[in-house]
Amino acid sequence: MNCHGWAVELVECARSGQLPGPELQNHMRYCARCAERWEDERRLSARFQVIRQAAAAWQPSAFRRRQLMLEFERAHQGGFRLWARWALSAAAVLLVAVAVTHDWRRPAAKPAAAVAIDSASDAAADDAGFVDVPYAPPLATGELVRVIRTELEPAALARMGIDVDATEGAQIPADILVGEDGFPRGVRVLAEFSELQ
Amino acid sequence: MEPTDEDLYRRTRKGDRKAFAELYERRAPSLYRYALHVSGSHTAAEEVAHEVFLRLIRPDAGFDPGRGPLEAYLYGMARNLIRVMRRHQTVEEAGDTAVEHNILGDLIRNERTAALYAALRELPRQYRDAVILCDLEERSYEDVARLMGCPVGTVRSRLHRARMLLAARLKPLSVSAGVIAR
Repeated sequence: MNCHGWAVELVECARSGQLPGPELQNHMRYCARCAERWEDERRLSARFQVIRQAAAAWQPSAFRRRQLMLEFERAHQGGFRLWARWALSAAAVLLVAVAVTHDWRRPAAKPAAAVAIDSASDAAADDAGFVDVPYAPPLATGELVRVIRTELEPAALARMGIDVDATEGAQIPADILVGEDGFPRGVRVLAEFSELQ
Repeated sequence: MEPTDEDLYRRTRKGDRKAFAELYERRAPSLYRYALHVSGSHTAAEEVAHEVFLRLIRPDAGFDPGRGPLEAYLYGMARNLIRVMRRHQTVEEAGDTAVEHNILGDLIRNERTAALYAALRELPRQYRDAVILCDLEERSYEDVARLMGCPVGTVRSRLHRARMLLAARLKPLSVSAGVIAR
């Protein structure tokens, strides 16, 4: 074996505190470099031993430990609060989502397909079964109007003079005649209109 | 059967106080020693061991069991903390370990300890970790290979090389200490 090969055994012997085997000892008798390396390794191991012993006795202080455990508890309480906050936020979002979906699915809430009529006049509106919205300015001749289908409160319809049961809870499908300025001019209750037809 | 570090960590994340205490008792002393050997300062080592566990509590603690053992992660954190402390100059140099009353002996011992820590600090990180874990912590090559994420043969060769560098670096001091002792 050459010096490089012996070096491995030499280091391991120094680390474990054992004496080298007879073959290595024999080699060191005539190899000054390996003998010197053996001394260096032994000395290094002895130094390691000193600082190992100095550090071995350390234990975390009771104060540090207590501090850490307090921090742990605080972090986990905080975690719970954070969790609770998230849960509440999620519940709120869910509630809003349910409310919106519910409202959305009701046909009344949908802005019913707007039906455009090319031209209109008060007379034409009357012919189509619309009842004038009280105090609304009259439509100009040739003014373009739009008809929007929606559902209205029976009480609101009754206030406009349309013959419906104002105490009825359910909304009533109706068309609203809207002028170019965006103001409603007439209302047509669909059931009533069909009856009239 | 004793729970693994990773089991204790999992329980810790769920708020298990006992698991956290057990993990701390198990790993804080070795982290302290590691930090002491790397920094050469008792105060810095205490601070680092404490801070590592404080960071482990945080919700954003980034330990990923798929990337290696928890212990390796803890050592990594300790190493980074020391690096940061050093950058901010908060690590005192070695010399706070003297205990004996023999003034000359203390001087030599402190000088030797300081020189050893200084030499350790000058080693490349992987060599230094090999020395600390294998020789100062007396961990097996297999254990160290697991912690360093490399083959056993690599750990052994790094250690042998590191010891040779240390011996060469410390030789002048050994000779002068020998002269003083005589």
